[in-house]
Amino acid sequence: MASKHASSAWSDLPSDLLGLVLPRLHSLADRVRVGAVCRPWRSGARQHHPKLPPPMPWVALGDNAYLDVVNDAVRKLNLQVPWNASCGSADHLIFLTRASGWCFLAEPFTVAVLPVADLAMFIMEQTREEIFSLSYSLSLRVHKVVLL
Amino acid sequence: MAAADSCDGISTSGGGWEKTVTLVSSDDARFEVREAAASLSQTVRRMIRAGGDGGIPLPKVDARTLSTVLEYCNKHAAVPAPAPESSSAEAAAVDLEWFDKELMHVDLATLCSLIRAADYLEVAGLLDLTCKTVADMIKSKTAEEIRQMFGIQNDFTPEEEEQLSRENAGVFE
Repeated sequence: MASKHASSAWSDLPSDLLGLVLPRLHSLADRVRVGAVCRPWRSGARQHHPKLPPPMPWVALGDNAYLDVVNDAVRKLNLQVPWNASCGSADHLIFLTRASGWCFLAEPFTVAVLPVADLAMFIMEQTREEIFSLSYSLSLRVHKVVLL
Repeated sequence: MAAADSCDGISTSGGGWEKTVTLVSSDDARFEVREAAASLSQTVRRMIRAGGDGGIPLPKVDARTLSTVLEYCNKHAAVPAPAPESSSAEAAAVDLEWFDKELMHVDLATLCSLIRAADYLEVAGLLDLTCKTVADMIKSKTAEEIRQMFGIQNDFTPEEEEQLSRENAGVFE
């Protein structure tokens, strides 16, 4: 690991020990910030990320605001696209829909938006057209999202 | 038979005759410790079993750190396992909790040595305690605050910094 600065006892903390500290941080924001401290911690945080227990969920307050319970902080989701409903979250992604049936996953840290699929199109493909048009006209609602 | 070689004597502390072992730190300080306390370290326990003369060498732990580790071991080994849910069990738990909290009032260099020593000596309870202490210190702090606290240099290139703040725009604000 090429480091242009002298390292400290803390930056040299063995990755295994960092791996014991990370599960004790229950806020995803804290875990992300640990990975932004220095290069060794970044690689340690990346290495341990898949094995960590899920962080405490954020509570959706409405109006793009989320409560980070662990840190007692409210975080605003500043997405550049309009959306109507937040239907759930998985890992660090929030699943959002628009009335048109378009749905997407949003990443609160990068505020990036990942279009998943045109849900309306997908359902149309899966359902007999007449049933689809009937239910769709009653407005589409998502009850459960499963990410695989 | 071999195990007896590393036992240097017996002491009367705690009201009864107890086996003691001698631990030798990296800077050659010798600590005579009750075997029950020393055995909270799995590393030491294995070395007691393996036997040897002249005390158990612990080349990765200096005297200052070892004395704190042993303070922890002595305290935790001294607490008998009372019946759960009894009032004495509760009092003992409160006392231990208070002791642990006080023990963690150390400077950051010592804390760093303690984590490493707890890992090397395999003292599970102390490893848990020190990692939890570090996690509590990190909680709610920005990356820059964490660097300042622990004296860590920011070794990212400007391009990497840029990428990090892009990736974490939502957390750095």
